[in-house]
Amino acid sequence: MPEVRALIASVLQIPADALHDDDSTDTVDAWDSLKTVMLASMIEINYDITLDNSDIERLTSVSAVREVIARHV
Amino acid sequence: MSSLAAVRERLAAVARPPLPELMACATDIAALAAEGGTARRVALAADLTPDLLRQAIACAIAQEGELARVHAAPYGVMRQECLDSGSALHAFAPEVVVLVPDWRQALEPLPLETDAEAVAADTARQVQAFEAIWTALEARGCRIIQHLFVPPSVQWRGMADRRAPASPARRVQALNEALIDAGEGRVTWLEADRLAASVGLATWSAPRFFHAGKLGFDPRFLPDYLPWFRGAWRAATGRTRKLLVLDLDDTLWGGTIGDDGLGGIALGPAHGGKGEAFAAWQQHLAGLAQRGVVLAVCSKNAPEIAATGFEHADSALRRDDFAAFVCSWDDKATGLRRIAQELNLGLDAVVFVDDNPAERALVQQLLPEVAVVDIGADPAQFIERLEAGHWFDQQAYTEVDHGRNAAYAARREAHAVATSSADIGSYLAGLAMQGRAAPALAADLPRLAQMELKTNQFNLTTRRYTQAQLAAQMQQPDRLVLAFHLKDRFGDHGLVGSLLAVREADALRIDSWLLSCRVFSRTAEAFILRELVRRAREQGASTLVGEYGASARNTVVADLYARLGFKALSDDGRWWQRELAAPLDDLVSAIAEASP
Repeated sequence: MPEVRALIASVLQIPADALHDDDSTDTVDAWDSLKTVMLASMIEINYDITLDNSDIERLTSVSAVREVIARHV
Repeated sequence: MSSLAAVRERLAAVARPPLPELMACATDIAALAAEGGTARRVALAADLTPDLLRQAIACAIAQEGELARVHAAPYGVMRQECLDSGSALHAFAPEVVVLVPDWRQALEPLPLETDAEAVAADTARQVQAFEAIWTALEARGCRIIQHLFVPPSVQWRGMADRRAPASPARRVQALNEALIDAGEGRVTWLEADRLAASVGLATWSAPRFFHAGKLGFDPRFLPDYLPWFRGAWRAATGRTRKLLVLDLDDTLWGGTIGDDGLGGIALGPAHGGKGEAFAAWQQHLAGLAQRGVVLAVCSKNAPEIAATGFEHADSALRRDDFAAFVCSWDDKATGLRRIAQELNLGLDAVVFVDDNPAERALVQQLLPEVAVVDIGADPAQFIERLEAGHWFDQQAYTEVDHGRNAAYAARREAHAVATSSADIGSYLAGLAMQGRAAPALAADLPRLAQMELKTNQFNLTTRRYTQAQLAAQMQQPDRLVLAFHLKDRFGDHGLVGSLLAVREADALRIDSWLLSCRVFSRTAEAFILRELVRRAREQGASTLVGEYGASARNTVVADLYARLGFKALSDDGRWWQRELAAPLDDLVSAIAEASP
């Protein structure tokens, strides 16, 4: 199972070490709404979970992604 | 900086490239296309969010060996972008436009009790709206690929909804059928409904993604979209694969014919599930052959032993079903080259199936144009794994498809006659050819349009007219569209040539001239030209003008006009002229006029 930051970075197409725990859509230009949806799909595939619609909309920061995943697995 | 070859390699590394890899490749492709140079211009206009499809389309076209710039119109304004000549879509000047409608946007609500007649009228209005879009795009020279509607994933109250003409499921079904009819010859359809069904309609539709990002499908299925798009792309751009080359041992039957003998190979119910699976696979291949796919064998075997496999009682394929049969101990790349040459087809028309990974790797490496299919080791999965590539997807059958294998087999036999004939003249005379070159009829249109797409070698100007464009030109009094039919003692080849001429002052200009590679070197050119001269004189023209536009594939006709007694009008070999008053003694053809 990929590390959360690495997974997000792969979707955003940026190096994993360029992404920090306090990053979000406000601090990373590449993190737009389409990337959020892609990220949701990648999380579903990698963790074999199904996200709620509200989960998908919350995937806007590294910490929120961790929380959403933790709640499902 | 990456290259197209590098991107293709990344996309080919696994059978189903994962989502982030597709996105990364799409980013690289966009950067490569922005550098300039040749890139296909494709516009995407969709009812829902287009971005994922835009990336997938760029990757799919890269897999087909070309760079593409893909412009996506903002979501929801598909119709306006296509109809408004001042739109950003038209400013982009696309060669191909991909239309992706969605029932949630396209279907206006109708009361459930609406009767069948009123529903049909609504469907007809929808079709008319699409026809207007197609006309606007055709006027700009765009080719059109359109997704069929994916039906709704829920059906209210089960059977009752299925029976109500006004239910969304019924309306989508009726609309798809009506669109397919109306789009004949105009639109290349991508069967999005079957794609969605193949992964499961409910999982495909994924409402959580529709509500979160107006996506029409779950992004996890994006990799599954690529082969469907590639199939549509090949059909729309004339690159549908034509030839399926197969290995024998463990590919068409289980075991080794040379070691196990006819009774020992696994084929048919006597050999259990495995034997049945091989028999079903052979039946599937026979079905492809009936539908116009040319079959050939490339096997490391002794030819006389290899052929005995087709005498098996449970073999759906017979030796005669193969237009070429290469059994030798040479490597498979050499064999494939020989087959392609013998059948006069390009390597980019070839699909190669072999159970041996080493042979596949060799062919992939030496002949990158060939589509190499990994069918795995389980015969029960062969059909699915071959068809997953959509290699032979075609929009409609023509008469020629039904007779193609016989025609190629006839060509092979004629070829054998050629090698046994001392001189070419007596060989051609021995074919007893009968030809007819006459103004094309409406019934010829589907085949003419198919030839426009498929003919690469004997294609003087490669203008690739669509069926609609050909139909329009047939109506114009200053234009002449000739269709050429040929038969010989081995078989009827059907419509195998076309010529489009335009009257300009006292000259008749040959705008387009095509001949199927099956009938090369048969003196058909001289036969067709004699007929054109006759008609040009009848019209009162005084000269014929010929044009040759070089493409990557048509060097075989670079000297055609010189061979046919035309004088060069320009140093670049593009323009040629022949006086109509000149006698026709030099235009000798071995083809006799067919009796009407």
